[in-house]
Amino acid sequence: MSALMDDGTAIEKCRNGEHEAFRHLVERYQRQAMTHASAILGNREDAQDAAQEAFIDAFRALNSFDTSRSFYPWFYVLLRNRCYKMAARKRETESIDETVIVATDSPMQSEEVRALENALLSLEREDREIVTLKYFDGLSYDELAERLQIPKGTVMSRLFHARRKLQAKLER
Amino acid sequence: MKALNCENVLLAMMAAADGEKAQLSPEEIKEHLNACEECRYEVVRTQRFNDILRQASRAESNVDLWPTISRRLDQQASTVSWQPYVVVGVLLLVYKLFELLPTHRPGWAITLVPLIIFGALFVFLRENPFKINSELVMEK
Repeated sequence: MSALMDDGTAIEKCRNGEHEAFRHLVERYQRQAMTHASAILGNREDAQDAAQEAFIDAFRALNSFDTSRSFYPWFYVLLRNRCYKMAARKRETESIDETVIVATDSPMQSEEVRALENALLSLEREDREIVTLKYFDGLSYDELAERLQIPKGTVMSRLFHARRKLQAKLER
Repeated sequence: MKALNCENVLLAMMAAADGEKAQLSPEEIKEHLNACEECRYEVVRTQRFNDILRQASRAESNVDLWPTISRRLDQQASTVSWQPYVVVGVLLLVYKLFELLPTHRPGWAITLVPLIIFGALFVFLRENPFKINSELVMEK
């Protein structure tokens, strides 16, 4: 299988019944999907389940995908639906030593990493999601509006309030 | 001076710091900050907070999801669901009974019903009955 297959070709092949072509999309986006699902769910096991389910949802819905658009923003909507469905059924998991949201190899001190991780985990999921998409992925307000399916004005106010909550938790 | 709402000023400052179009001009923000001590304090707090966020990055995960997804897709493909065929059978039976009713004289359009039913079945199964199987052609 070619390592250079683009998303459009892979999607076209999947639509023609070639399951193996879906591997390109999974391998290209699984890391991103896992980090985003981990940020919403706060733990890796649930994130893995949600990401797997979201990829299967995506495979089933590929016929409705508009190939003139990018795959990942479309997939992200499916992923977050899966994450929030899963979150509604499960309790928040207890904090463990390993960080799931903030990288430990960042230039920050390990206590700062832990403090930021705990502060993020103590936020509401939606607040955590918007803060990490903005400040870790660097998405613009327009991109956030597309990913979260909300108007740009709502992005601004939600981000503003999420930041304030996070700031308050970090200063405690 | 509280002519401008503090929250709107802080929102505009956040947008500007994020590289977005702010609702207030820099002059309006500056004018408000000169007169509002609370917002000046907020600016300092926000800068410290932004420094922390700037240094942080996402924790990566190196999980390979493909083996499980591939297995699930294979299972899904090999499972032939019987329900669509039962629905088609029932619809065709109803059609036949309707056609046999002596009191009814439906028009020619009724003869299209079985075609529509089969067409809907192929659409539902996402199968193209006219597609040439190139693998079989190659075998010849």
